[in-house]
Amino acid sequence: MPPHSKKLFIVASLDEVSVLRKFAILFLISSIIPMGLLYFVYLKKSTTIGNAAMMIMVTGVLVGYFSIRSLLSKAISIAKDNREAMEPLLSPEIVDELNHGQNELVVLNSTLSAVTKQLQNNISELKIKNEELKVLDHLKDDFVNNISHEFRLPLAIIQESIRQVAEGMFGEVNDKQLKYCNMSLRNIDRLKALIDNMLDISKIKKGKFDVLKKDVDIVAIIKDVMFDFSLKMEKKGLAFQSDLPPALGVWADKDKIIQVLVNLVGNAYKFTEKGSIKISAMENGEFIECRVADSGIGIGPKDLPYLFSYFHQIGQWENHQDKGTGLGLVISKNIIDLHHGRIYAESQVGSGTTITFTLPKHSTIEENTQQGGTTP
Amino acid sequence: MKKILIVDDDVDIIELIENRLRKNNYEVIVSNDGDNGVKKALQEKPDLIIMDIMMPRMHGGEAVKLLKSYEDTKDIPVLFFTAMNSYLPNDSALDHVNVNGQFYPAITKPFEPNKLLSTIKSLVGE
Repeated sequence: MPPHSKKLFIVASLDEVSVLRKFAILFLISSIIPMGLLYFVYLKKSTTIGNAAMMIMVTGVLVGYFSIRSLLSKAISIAKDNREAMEPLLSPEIVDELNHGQNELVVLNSTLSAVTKQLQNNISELKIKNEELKVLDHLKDDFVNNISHEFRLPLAIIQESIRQVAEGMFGEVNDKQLKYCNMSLRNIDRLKALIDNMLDISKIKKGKFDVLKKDVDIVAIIKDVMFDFSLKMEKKGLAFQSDLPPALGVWADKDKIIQVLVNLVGNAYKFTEKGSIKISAMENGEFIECRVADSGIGIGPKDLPYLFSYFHQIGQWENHQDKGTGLGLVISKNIIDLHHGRIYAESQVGSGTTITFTLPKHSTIEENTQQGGTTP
Repeated sequence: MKKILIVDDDVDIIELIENRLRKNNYEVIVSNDGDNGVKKALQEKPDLIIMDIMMPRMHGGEAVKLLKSYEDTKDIPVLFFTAMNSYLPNDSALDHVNVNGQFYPAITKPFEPNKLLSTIKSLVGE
C-alpha cells in the first residue's frame, strides 16, 4: 500500500468511530423512552411478574449500554493510539499537500483529456491530409505519364528533321553544320532517355512495371551489351575486360537485365576517362553475382548511400558534361528488386566504382505456382 | 515499286516519313485521318499501311477493324506507328502492339530510321 493511501485509511477509521459513538447514545435514548412508558404503566398496575420483568428489562438495557460503551472506548483508544502514531503524517501540511495533490490530479486529468482530444483531432486531420496526398501523388503520376507521351511526338519530329538535314538529304552539310546537328541529336537522345525513364518510374510506382521471367543465360546477355559498347570504348581508349564462365543460367527478364547492364556499363563509360571497365559473373549459392567495375572518378562516402535514390546528383559528377537522368540507378534497383536480387555499390574517389547485383538461378516455388508450374 | 499508305493526323511526321520512304524508293500516299485512310486504302490498294493509333475522328484500331472487314483491304499488312507506349505490352523497346486483341508490328515515336526501314522491308520487301 503506498504511504498516501495509509494516511487516508486512518482518517477514515477515526470518522467511523465518531459515528459509532453517536449510534451508542442514540441506542440508549431510544431504549430509555419505551422503558419510561412501561414504568409509567407499571406504577398504575403493579404485579409481581410485571415487577420482575421490569427488573430484567432495565438490567438488559444497562448491560447493553455498558458493553457498547466499553467496546467503543476500546475502539477509541486504538484509534487514538493510531492517531498519535500517525500524528506527524496527519499534520495540516500533509492534509494540505494531499488536497493540493488531489487538485493537481484533477487538473492533470482534464489536461490529459484535452491533449487526447487534440491528438485525436490531429490524427483525423493527418488521415485526411494523407488521403489528399495520395490523390495528388496519383494525379502527379498520371500527369507525368501523359506529359511523357505528349513529349514523344514533338521529340520524334525534331529528331528526325535534324537527322535528315545531317544526313545531307537536302544538300551538302559543312562540318560546322554537322557538328551542331550532332550536338542537337545527342541532347535529344538525353531528353528521350529522361522521358523513357520517367515513364518507367511512373509504371514502377503504379505497380505496372511487369517483368517476364524466363531461364536465360546472363553471360550471353553480358557479351551482347559489351559488343554494343565496344566501339565507343575503343574510341575513348578504354579497355574492356571480362571474367566470365562459358554460360550461367538466371531466372530473369532478359530485356530488363539488358536495361540494367546498359545503365551500369553506360555510367562506368561516362565517368571513366582512362583505364578499364571490367565485367564479371560468378555463382554464389542460389544466386549469380554480376560485377561492373570501372577505374573512373569514383563516388565519395557522402554520396554512396544515396546512389540508388531519385534524382540524386553525385557531388563529383555535378560538373560532368554528360550527366545522367538521375533515374537510371533507381530503375536498375527496382528491376533487381523485382527479381528478388540485391544491388550495391562500392567506391573510392579517384580509383573507381564497382556495382554488384545478384539474380536468382531458379524461380521460387511461389513464382512457379503463379506461372502455372513452369519449371526453371 | 511498292506503294505505302501513311495514315497520321500529324502532317510534320507524315512529311518526314515520306522523305525517308521516297529516298528508299517507295511510292508514298498519305492520309490525315482514319476515316479518309480507309477510303484511300480501298482506292489505291497499297502494299503496306503505316497507321497512327491516337487520331481524332477515327482511332487507328477502329480504322484497321474496318480495313479487315473489306475483301480488297483485309490482307494488306499494317504497321502501327505510335507515341503511346501504353499500347505496348511491356516497354518501348518491344515492337508489337495489341490492337483489337490481335498483335501487330509496331514502331514507336521517336523512331530509329534503320529499324523503320528494316521492319517495312520485312513486311513488303524492297
